[in-house]
Amino acid sequence: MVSTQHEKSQDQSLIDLRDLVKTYQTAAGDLTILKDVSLQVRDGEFVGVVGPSGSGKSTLLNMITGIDRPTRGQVFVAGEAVHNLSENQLARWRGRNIGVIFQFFQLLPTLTILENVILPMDFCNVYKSRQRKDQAMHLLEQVGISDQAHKLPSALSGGQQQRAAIARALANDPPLLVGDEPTGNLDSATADQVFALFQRLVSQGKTLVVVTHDLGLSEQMERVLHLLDGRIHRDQNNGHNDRH
Amino acid sequence: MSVVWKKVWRDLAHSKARTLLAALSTAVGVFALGLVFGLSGTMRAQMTQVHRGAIPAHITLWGGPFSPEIVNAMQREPGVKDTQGQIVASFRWKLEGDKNWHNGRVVARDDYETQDMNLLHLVDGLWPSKRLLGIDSLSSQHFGIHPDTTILFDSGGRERPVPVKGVVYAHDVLAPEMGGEVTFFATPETAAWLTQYEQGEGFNQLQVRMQSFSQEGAEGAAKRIKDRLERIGLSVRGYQVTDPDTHFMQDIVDAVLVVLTVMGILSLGLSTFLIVNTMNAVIAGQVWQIGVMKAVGATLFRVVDVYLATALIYGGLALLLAVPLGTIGAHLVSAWLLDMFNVKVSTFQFVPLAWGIQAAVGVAVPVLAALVPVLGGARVTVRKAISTHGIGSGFGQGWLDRLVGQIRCLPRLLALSLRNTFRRKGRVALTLAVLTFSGAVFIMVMSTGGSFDNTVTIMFELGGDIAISLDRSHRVSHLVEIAEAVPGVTRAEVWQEQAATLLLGASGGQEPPISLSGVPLGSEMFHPRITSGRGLLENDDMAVLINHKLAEEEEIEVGQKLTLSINGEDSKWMVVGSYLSVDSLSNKFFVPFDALARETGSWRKGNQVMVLSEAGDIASQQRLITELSQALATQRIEVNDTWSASKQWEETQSAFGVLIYLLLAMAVLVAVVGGIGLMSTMSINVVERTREIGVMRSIGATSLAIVGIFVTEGVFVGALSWLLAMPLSLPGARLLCNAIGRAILEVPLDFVYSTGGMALWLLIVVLLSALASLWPALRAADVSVREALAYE
Repeated sequence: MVSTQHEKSQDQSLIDLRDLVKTYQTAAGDLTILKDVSLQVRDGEFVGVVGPSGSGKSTLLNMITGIDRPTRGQVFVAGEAVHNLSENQLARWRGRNIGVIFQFFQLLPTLTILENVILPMDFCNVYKSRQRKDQAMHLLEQVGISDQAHKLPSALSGGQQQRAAIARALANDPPLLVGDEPTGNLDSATADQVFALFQRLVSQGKTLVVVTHDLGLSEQMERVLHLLDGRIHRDQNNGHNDRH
Repeated sequence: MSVVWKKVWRDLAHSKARTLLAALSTAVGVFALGLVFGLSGTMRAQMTQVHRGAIPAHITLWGGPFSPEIVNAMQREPGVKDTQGQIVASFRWKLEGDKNWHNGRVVARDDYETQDMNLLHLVDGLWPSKRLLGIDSLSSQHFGIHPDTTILFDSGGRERPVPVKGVVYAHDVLAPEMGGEVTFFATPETAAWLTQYEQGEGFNQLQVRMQSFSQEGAEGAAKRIKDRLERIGLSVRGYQVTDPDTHFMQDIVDAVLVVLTVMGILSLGLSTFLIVNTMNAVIAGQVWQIGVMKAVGATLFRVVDVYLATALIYGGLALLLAVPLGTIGAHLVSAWLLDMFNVKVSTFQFVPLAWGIQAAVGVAVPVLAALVPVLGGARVTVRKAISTHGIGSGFGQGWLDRLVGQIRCLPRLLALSLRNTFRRKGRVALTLAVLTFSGAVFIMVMSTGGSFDNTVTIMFELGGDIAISLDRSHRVSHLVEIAEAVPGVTRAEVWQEQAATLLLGASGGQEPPISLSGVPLGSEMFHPRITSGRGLLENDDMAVLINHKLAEEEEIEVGQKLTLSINGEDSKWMVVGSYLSVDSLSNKFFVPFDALARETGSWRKGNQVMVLSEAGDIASQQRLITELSQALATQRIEVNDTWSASKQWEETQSAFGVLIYLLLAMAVLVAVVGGIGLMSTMSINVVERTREIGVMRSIGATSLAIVGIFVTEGVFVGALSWLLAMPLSLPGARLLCNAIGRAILEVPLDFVYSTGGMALWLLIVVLLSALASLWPALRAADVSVREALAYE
């Protein structure tokens, strides 16, 4: 089948990955990180991705967010053929449809917490400029750090910074949030709090795909994908459905 | 203000040092351009204004004597508006208590109150009156002569006092330190008293102003007036036409400004390199932020926008600094230069062109220079952008890395510095280019200075160390005997000096006054630098060696026969060659002594004593002049004028020194750009290697070791740039010497490569590199292990 820009997923899934292959060319020869991975994620699911180092977890996430392109196969997210979008189209699409949460928070150091949250709104022109500040404050309230809004990231603890990063990921009200080890750089108590926040977001209808090393946390997720050597070794359904 | 703009501002405020360096590097180039264009605009405007304001005579004729009636009669010539007569004569003077005489000239007019042209202004005291003098304002400053100072003048070997009562500004007098003659103003009667000029003889200079000026019209009128004067039996030694809109120093100033403009543009080029370097660093340090911005929805265009705005702000800051500094600098430097040309800068000259150029360049250059690094950085994919952390490698690939890696004999820390130098090849190449260029320019300027000295030295080989001109001719053997008896004189010769006019015949051009110098063939003191043809030979008779400038201007060829008018008699001479002349004010031709003696009827007699002296310094030579003058006076031989090589050398040096100072100032500016470039590169290196510094610290590196690593790296770059500058400076210096020589002396300078400049630059560049990398190195030593390893 020849892909086109207007190609849409026929499936009702929010994420639909079809026969994904990702090969990197390295000095030591070609290295295939993802091998024929196919996956569907429905709206409102909380999916954990686990696996040893080098199993392809981050690469899988990068395929979903359009941060990286597949060598072969197709990626549909929210009905969009992500693999066909140009860099610029991807940037705009990502800003509106996906909230990305990084392990090291990646807040811009010279902007306050509030401004970091407003930044995606500015880029994507989602709200009227006067509403942006209110919306951002509302998100910071939701993640529980509205009192830190006017501080610079360096003045906040790791947990607070990650909450701010989550608020930023929610800025344009995307249906999908993805996180690459979002709790990997936090102590366990803070990690638990952030995880609780994720659960609340899922209960509000967001879809979350989160890479984690923390087996304790992954057990609390509704669905866990075990990656091994570039393939989905096991697709485990924990049977939780905390949606209220 | 949108969040994106806030980010731009805060990033700039956050990296204060980098912002300052980037603004400074842009500012240096913009300042250089502002200075040069400001200088050019100010000098042109002020020189023209002063020249026009003085209502210069369009035609000046020498000869005479021109009685007041004749001066008035010439007003009736067609097209003539006004005429004015003036006496110009030379005399010797000194201050009370001084041992040595100075040469001076006295300018005398009938009426100082009503002036029609070549206006003089009374600055202080009174206008000249009977046996009371005025002095020109520059000489007044130079010698500290004020109204009521009494000077002594040489009246046939006797000292006579004459008071100075006024200070007068004359626009066409040059500063004594620039080789200008000390000028006194007097009444015609006082002039006759001071000099050999006979009272009541009339004027020896006739100045004419036309109703309207055109070069052809003025030349035609000059020829008509000359013919008319000659018809009534008066001699006209020559005439000169002056454009009332062009100051007499304008040509030289223009030549200097062309060289400075080239240097200014080159400084700007170097600034551009630095901006590219800085923007590369800004982008390198913010790649992950670009990734995050793109991850949250920023398009390529928005990212480019953010960083071009940064570059624009660098430009804006640079303008804030460079425009006022350039304007003030141009004002101060032009005031300094114009003062030497006797042009007083009365008002602050606004040069809108200089501001316009600065504004355009200050805005456009940073943005254009930033475009390539910004586009490159903005194109980085999100994945690549957010995955760049940890210790960068960036070393080990490529032949240069392997080559440097193979140098094993060095101490480990030195080897580390050396290898680090080549980690960022693009960056080090840009920095090297800037420093190499700075070095090349420095050595070029030093070589130009040396070549000037060299050329001027050759020009001084046109006579003895001391020349004493006498009031009339005396027997050669008698003069030699007197001079050689004076202690300190190693050899004496007698030459003959004679005023003449070059008749260019059919060409219809001007008839330039020339000075003929009769040289004893086989002279030990005469070593002219021949620019075409040959020098004078032992058996030459009616042969003439002419000045290269006149040869070029009048297209006189070797082998051509010239007609010279000597004492009103025409005589024919064969041009055997031309020699290099640095004297832009007079035309000197050399002929065999005997031939000139025959033509002037002064067989075996001469009026100039040339002496080689034991001592070369000014004081000794001035003392020797005094002793020689006294020895001649005891034999009732009167001295008219004296000249010493050491004094002339000093004057010539200070005149050309101005140009060399200006060029050196530009070279220093270029070196500053080089230093800023290196400092910014080293700062970027420190930031980029923060993690690495942490690792080194965690395994035991002391602060001193870390400072050492970075300073050594900086010094490596500096020393390497010196090696690269040498081959570049050689052809560069040749070009510069050719250009400057042609512009000012109308011949290429006698080239000498400045090995001293080369050695000096090595010292400067090593110190500069060490200093420029010291601050970044100290910052590196401040990094703690914890913050280094947490560094993103």
